[in-house]
Amino acid sequence: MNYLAQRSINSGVNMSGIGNIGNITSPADAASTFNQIISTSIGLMTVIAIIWFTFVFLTGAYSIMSSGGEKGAYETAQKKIRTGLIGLVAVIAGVFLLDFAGWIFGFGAGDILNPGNWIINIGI
Amino acid sequence: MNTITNSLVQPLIKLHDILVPEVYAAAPVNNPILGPNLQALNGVSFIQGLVKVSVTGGLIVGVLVFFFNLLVGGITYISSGGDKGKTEMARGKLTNAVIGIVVMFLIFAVVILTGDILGTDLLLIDITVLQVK
Repeated sequence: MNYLAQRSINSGVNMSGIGNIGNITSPADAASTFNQIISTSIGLMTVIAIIWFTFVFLTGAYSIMSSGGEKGAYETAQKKIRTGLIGLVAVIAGVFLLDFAGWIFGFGAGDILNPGNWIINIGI
Repeated sequence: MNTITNSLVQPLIKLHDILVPEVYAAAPVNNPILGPNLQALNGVSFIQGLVKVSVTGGLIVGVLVFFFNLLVGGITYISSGGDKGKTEMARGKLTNAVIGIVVMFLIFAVVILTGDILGTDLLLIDITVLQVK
C-alpha cells in the first residue's frame, strides 16, 4: 500500500534535448554543460585566432620581402606582425587573465571560471 | 505515525538533495585548445610563467642578435681592406655588440643591487597587495 506522499507522479514522457548536450538529468549536469559550451566557444575562438594569426604573419612576412628596403612599407609590415603576435598571446592568455581578475577581486580558486556554479548558487 | 512522518519527510529530503547539492563541483571553464600543462595553470601562475618566459626569451633573442652582429662586424672588418672608414665602422659594431651583451647579462646584477640599495627585493614583487579582500 502506498501513502499519498509516496506516489510517484509520472508525466508520461522523459523530456530531453537533442544530442549530447540535451542529455541532462540533474542541475549539476546542466551547470557542467553550460560551462562546457562556454569552453567550447573559447576553444573555437582560439582556433580561429591561430589560423588568422598564421595568415597575418605570412602576409606580413611577404610585405617585408616585397618592401625592397622601402622604409614605410617595411615598418608597416613589422607593425602588422607585432600586433598579430601580441593578439595571439592575448587570446591564449584570455582565460588566465579572467582567472587573475577573479583572484584580484577575491573569488575563490577558479570560481570566476565556473558560471554554471553561480546559477546553482543563486537558487533559493 | 512514524512511517507516515518518514514517508512525508523522505521525499522532501530527496527533493532538497536534488535542488541544493551540498558539495558540487562542475568542471570550470577552460580553453580546450591549450595543452594539458597550460590548462593546469591558474591565472596567477600563468602570469608568473609568462613573465619568466618573456625574460628568458628576451635573453635568447639578445644572444642571437649579438651572435649575428659579431658575425657581420667580423665580416665587415675582414672585407674593409684597410679602408679607414670601414674599419672604424666594423670596430664600432663589434664594441657595441660586446657592450650590449655585457649589459644584458648584468641586468639581474643591476636589478638586485638597486633593490638592495632601495631596501627591497625587486625580483620578488608581492602581488597579493593587489587582491581585494
